[in-house]
Amino acid sequence: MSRIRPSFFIPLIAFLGLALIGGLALKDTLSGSRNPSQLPSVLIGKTAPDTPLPLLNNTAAALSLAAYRGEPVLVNFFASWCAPCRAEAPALEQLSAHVTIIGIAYKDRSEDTAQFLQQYGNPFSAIGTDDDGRTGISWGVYGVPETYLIDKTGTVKWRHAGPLTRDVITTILMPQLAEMT
Amino acid sequence: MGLTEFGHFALISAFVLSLVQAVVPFYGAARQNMPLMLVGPAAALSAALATIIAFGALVMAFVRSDFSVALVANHSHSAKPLIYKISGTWGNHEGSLLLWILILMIYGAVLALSGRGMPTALKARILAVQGMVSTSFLAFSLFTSNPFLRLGQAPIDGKGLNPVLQDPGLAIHPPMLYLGYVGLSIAFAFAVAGLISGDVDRLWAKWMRPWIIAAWCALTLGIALGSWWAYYELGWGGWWFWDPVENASLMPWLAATALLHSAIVVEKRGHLKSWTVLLAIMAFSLSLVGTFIVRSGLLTSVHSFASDPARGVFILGILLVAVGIPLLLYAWRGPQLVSTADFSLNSREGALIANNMLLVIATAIVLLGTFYPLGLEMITGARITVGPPYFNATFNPVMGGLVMVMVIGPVLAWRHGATPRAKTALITAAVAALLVGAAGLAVVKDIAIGAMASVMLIGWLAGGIGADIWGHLKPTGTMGPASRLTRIPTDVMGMWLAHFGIVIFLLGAAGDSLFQSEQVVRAKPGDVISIADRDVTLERVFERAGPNYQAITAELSYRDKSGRHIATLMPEKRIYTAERQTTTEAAIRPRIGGDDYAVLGDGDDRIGYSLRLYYKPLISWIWGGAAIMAAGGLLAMVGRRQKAKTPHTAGLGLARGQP
Amino acid sequence: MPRFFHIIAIGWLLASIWGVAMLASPPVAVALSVEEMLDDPALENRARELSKKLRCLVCQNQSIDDSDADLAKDLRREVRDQLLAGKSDDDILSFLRAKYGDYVLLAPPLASQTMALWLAPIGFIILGITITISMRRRRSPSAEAPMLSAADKARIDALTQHHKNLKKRDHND
Repeated sequence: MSRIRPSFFIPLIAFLGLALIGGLALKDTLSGSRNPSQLPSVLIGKTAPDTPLPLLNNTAAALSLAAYRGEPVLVNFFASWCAPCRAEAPALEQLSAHVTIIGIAYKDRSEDTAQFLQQYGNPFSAIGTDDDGRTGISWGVYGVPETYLIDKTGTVKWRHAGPLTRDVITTILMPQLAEMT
Repeated sequence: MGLTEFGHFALISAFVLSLVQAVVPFYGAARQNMPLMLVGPAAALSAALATIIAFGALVMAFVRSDFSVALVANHSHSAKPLIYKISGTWGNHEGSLLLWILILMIYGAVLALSGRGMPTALKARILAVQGMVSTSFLAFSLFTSNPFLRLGQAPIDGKGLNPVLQDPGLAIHPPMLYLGYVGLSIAFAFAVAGLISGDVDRLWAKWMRPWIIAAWCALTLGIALGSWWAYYELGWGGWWFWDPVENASLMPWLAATALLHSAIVVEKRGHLKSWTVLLAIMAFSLSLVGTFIVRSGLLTSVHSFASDPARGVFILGILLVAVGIPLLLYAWRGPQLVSTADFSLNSREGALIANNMLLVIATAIVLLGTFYPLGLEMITGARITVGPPYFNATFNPVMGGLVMVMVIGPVLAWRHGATPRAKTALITAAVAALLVGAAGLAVVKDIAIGAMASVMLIGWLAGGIGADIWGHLKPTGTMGPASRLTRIPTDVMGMWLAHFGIVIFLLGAAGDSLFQSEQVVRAKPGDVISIADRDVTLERVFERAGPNYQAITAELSYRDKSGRHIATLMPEKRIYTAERQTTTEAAIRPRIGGDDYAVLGDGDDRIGYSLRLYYKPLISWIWGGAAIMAAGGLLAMVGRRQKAKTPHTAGLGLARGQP
Repeated sequence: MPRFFHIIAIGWLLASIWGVAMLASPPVAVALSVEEMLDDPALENRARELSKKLRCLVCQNQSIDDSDADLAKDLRREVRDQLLAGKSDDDILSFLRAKYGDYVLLAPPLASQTMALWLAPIGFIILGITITISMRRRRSPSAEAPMLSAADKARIDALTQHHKNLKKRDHND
């Protein structure tokens, strides 16, 4: 006598649901479209927060993002004590030919920042100093380096946490830049 | 050098033997062919032997620091002390997987050798299911995580000298935990074998119970060891963090606890058969889900091995087969096991069902909380966190309900109604709760209502257990307590001990969560800090060289209020020179009444040093309680085996001759 | 069981639900240094409670109260700065949510996408009660029972009585 009771299928269905989630997550992780260590930025689509920071080479003056409205801009949070920042320096150097890059020295000492720039090159059109990290918090920065792409209207379009690799630049950043000009 | 190849060969042999074990006895049981069925135990024993050889070869490679073996080169170092070289064998993915497999094989071998009265066909089918599980894991090891791979060129020395991993806790915690996880595979095999043959009855439950208890004891101790290690050795200050890997061990434990209790109903009353079968499948499935969580790298955790999504795919494959097929089998044949209930809810069956429901709800909550972020990310791309606040709000109240039921259940009768001692037991429990509440009000100024409710709940449980014991021991007309004691079955005493262990555990948890004292200060040498009727003097801060680190150590003198010196604690910060890692070593003074806990922060003699001092009342009772729980389980398990020999059960007329 | 026991049981059940929820996050050795702490104890308490709800984004599963990381320290300072500026608890949590996303909250907020998460436990309990009730004694449809002879009936009565006596003696072990 084989009575089929639908309720007895519930554990199987629940398990298959769980397996589906796991499988999808694995697929996305393997294909690279999902990276557990990358947090999506909440600022995307919103106006970039202002950055009234003293400039590195002229502490009397203030860095103003608004001055760069009308052209796309990259904002790069970096520090001399940050090893991956050194790794991405050459890539930033090359990028600076295509787009304006603004640097924000995050929780760093001016002398150390200056030395870092001397050693690894200075791709930045302007550099602000965020000594206590407060500006970082207002941008949702959780580590360095982080790079934000801001469009002509001052809206955040994209954020990359970690060093910019050649791969990321060619496949993700350059196409977005091309759309903006 | 040849030893490693020999080990590799042994592993391959184990794989082949497992395959035989998985297939032949099944066929034999279906065809009632005795010689084929007996292949099961033979294959299980020889496969276990082969695995022991393989594991031994791997351990030897670590002990001899054979850096031509890739695993040894990546995870060991010639300067490691011997014991950590040995335990380093399972301090990595491939080695721990081999340990998992080893334990699986040993369980199978023990099953093959024991169970003399067990029907041959049942044993054959169980060993066959075990064989299927071990074959899958051996395949996983051989094809994706082979521990015996050689490097082309052996490096001069290995890379594995991480100081955090050189710890006695790491040596014992994984093996103990695996004894639990893997032990549940036997109950799982019982369930699948039962579904296939249809013979799920009281004898089936009787044979299964010792295996459930053994796995449950090991899992209890394994989880407790991990928690103990995190608190005492790693100095994380807490004992549970609702980390996904911790949840991965808690879920099988909750399911195993439910299984333990529902199997009682099957054995004593013949009810809840299909439910017990489902629980047995779920418990081991949750063990496998745990493996998936830890080794696939999908969920971030402090505990994960190096994550490898490719391996995750293989494990998912194993999961789909090892869990999906039994669940399909359950959906198809489970309804045939359902028997008509002849009990009302107001009965011991009812209470045990309530116990099971609460435990399963708790398991579901932990499962949901652990996987929800991943699920949501797949559907909407949003990233959320489900952390301790969620679990405290949802899991704890369910456990509170369970504590309520724990007092009511044992004093209800089978089928319907209350036993004569129910009224006394419940009144005692209620009075105990009120007394504890009153004591709480008297002892602790402005005690929070929530805290008072927690301790009253503990009083309720303690009172209920005490009353139950007294009800069994109080002198009747003909017998005194001593002679009544000898007549109490060992598994009842085991239950009392295990439930009492829960009381101790809850007292420890409550003591630490609710009544902890804390002082966060900046102190210069000579300053005195008061905490929990102790006066702590920072005597000095000095530098000290350790074997592979430089330390900055603070010397703290603890005195009681009369000025008498109680203890000296030396918290320190260590800088490991080779790895350039800084760790904070908390100083802990464990005592039954409570722990003194001190952490050193930054600073210098001029501005002072950051110090965090704690007094944690009763915190060691958390692990003491868990040990008592496991002891209770052991008592119940040992007692059962003795009871099986008494003529009473033989006369039940349930012996079924045919396989 | 007499009804008043049922009432007591339910009463304690409700109390325990609240009480056990108070066995809250086992406190971890916090990462505070004394300079970070505010002078006003009430504000400092609020800061600690808020910190326990916020996730350290660069750690594995720790709150900013427990973590030694630099970012955790910065966020602790941010919380205290905003408290001093008179912001409410909700304001501060909303602010950090607006910067870092829901991920920064250790307990997921009540939003449409987390409804299932928060309502599910209640759903489980209701499901559990339903299943439990469905398991109770049901009168099975009685088939035509064969007639018992008088002698059989007498034997059944004697055996039942003997069984009852045995039960009483064993006290339902």
